[in-house]
Amino acid sequence: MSVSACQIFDFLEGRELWKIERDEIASPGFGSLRRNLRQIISRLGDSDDQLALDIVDGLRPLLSEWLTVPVPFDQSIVDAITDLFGQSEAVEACWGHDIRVAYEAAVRAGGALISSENPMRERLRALIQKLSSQGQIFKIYCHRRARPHFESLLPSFEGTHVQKLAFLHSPSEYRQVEPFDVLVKVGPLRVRGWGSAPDALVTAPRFGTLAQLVWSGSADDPDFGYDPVSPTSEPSETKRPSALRAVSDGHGSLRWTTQVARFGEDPDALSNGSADTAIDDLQFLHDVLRHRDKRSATLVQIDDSHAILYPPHSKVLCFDPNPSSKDPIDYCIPDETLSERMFLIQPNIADVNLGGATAQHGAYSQVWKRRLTEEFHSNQNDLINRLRKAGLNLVHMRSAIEHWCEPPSNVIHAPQQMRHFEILIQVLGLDDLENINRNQASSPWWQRAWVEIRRSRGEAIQSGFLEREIVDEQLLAILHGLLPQIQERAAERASFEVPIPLRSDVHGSFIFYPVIAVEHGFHVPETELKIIQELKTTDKWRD
Amino acid sequence: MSGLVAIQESASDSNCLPMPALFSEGGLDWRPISDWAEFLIQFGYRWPIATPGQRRIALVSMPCDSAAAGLVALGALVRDLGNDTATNVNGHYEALLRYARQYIKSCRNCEMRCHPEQRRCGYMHEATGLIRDKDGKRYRISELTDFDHKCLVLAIERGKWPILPKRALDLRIDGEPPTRLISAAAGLPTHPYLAIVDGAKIIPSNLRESYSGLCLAGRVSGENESRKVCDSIRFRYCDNEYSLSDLLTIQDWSASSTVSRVIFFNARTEKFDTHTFSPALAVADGDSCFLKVLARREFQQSDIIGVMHRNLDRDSLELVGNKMIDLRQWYMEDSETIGRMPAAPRGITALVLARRIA
Repeated sequence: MSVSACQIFDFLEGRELWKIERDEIASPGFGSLRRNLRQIISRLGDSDDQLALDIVDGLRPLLSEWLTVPVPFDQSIVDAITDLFGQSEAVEACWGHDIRVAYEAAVRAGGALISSENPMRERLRALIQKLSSQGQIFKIYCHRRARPHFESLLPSFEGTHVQKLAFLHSPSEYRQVEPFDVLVKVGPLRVRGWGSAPDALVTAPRFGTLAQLVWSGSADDPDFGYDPVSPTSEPSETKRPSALRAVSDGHGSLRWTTQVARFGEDPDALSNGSADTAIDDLQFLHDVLRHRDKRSATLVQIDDSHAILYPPHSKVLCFDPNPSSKDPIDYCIPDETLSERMFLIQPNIADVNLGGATAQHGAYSQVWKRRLTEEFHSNQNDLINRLRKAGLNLVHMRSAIEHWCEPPSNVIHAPQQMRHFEILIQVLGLDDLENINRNQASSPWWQRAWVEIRRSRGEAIQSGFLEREIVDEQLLAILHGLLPQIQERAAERASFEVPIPLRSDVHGSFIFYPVIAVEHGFHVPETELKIIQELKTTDKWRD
Repeated sequence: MSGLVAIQESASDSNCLPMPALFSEGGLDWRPISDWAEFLIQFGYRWPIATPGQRRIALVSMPCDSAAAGLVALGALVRDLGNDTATNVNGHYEALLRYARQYIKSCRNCEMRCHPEQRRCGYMHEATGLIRDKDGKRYRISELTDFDHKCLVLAIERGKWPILPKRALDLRIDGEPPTRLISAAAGLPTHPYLAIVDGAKIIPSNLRESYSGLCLAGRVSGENESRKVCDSIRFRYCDNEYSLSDLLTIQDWSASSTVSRVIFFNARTEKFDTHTFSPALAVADGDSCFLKVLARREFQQSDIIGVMHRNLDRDSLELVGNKMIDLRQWYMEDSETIGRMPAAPRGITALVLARRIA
């Protein structure tokens, strides 16, 4: 409770009216890019073909990011699209002429954008300069990973009157901020997913003015500004920003007013009829995802590039470094009692099915990654052809292989599916190692290497060889014995590993991951839950 | 000053004091009690005394994290000080007998000390069978206790000691606050409560009698966190300072010799701080605690006031909102109770539901 309630109420009592200044930006080039990608997603999203669905999963986060983050219009936009599709001829061969036409139009539109600056960035820069010159205290609400795109707007503040940018990234950060003048937000007010923000921006403002910049067509969620005291919402087709309404008509209500200014226009959208201009791409993308078989999940970010997704009400083993905590090691619920100052505990227990000695983290991966790197650098095309022929037919194979070649970090970068990994090992000729070690091992080499990958993703405890409750009890007892050591290591606020003492019945170690952020608004396939994922992978499941 | 000590009562019998209390939050400057804090205290103070069959559930939604639940509980505590039925004295002997029954029939021979949730015995605490007298001397409950004839018997060195109901008021379950203090001077002071709720009616005997009908259900992050938040609020009257924690008289937050007018439910461990709980009103601190309390058997007959802040992710807000919608099947908006409340300061919203009468 870093901000006193008195400060907040003094601020609320001192104002009669809160303002939303909404800038709606249109651009012909970006509009064309959006339309063509939407067309592709619309067509491929209904497909049963896994490759088509992979393309859709790749396009969703791209388009969502461009709509909610002030990215620069540069070559990376075109590259991101062409990396997903490859050659035009192959696109036509797979999905027909219409998709090829839309794809080529999207690439052309993306290429045309490079010659001009993103108008969203222009408006944002002007806004920041204006607020600074007026001496207003402002903060930017955005996702952590969007921050560099804001910071690159004005690379140097020295010698200028522009304030150093201040950011808010989560409800908990917003909870602790003292009242200020202006909140800057790019993208619509959404309750979940890309560009989402806490309802409290509207129901419990800590600022007088919300400066909102959105692409044309991007509507705020109709029920944004939710208060459980009055949970009934207007029908979704009304589509008007909820902030136009009073938060509550009863006691304690806050009054909002909205001013909308439009910048630029998209003549093609207008000529295509009003239906096109009314399409909200983020809503469209959300609907595409919702139709697929997925479970809602909460994301727990554990370092700059990794996270774990948990289904609702999961109980996860945690360590609370707060000295006043009565039960520093306990099970927490990510969407309830897990907070950003805690550590996730991942037991890394030796698996009896491994055969032979317990593998060290990365022991198998060092072998197959070395071979993969050698083959990839000696003849990329040959390796890709051999993999495709053996049945590993990913869309963006080249970048996938590059990714698998990366050295192990918290996780071992490898194919997502076991079948794909088996093919990779066969193609690399590493199954021969099995013959060499046959006397020592009970399972094929690729299976042991796969177990190592799964364990690095945190799957070992789920498929544990002992009855779950017995393991849990033992682990808790061991962890309590290690508490002084854990508390000392936790002071560094980085991930660390504590070996299980040799005298214990259980062998292995505990890996402690600091909780960087807890985010809601994901829909995830069942098989991808509770394992360490790369953040960029999790983006495709963001609402 | 730490703890709540009675100050010399020099005011007349009138329940109005010449000056109101001052208020400070988080060590900031003293000021008159802020509107938001006043509203919350009054919300608890004006909450109707529970009537059988007319259960009420309220949700108070705050724009920021605060000690709001503690303040509502404080208002309800002052309300109960004026209620002559808000005392444990009347049911004390029965409470001792219930405790004795638990000890003799269940806990004494139990092999699982003490995991009621695993044993599924239906109890929440172990009954150790120990009773203390007013001097602090300990006795063990005798197996000669006669439940049919409602006669509590304690074991003493030379045999047994049957306890008459009148004598039982000097006894208490070990670890619990005294039921009634003999000396009024050792009871709770009147002035801080009157200075906080001007004109409140206070029955003098209630200041020296414990009451377990009002419950503060703490945050799911644990008792320490709940207490820390309440410690951050302080009141000052006549050069005496009282923290909200002191004024709430929760047993483990106060000196052991004083009475307790609020019991505490730890939402993290899901345990009460007392054996004798029958909350007529529970004030739940936070969204998760509110949902837990609504679901628990022990609170099914209680009025419940949930107090939460809105700076939460949407999923957490919707869990509470959906619960309120579910409740509307059996409850209706209670405009009468809302009408009793003062106007809410900007930023606080509140909803009160009352059970539909068949």
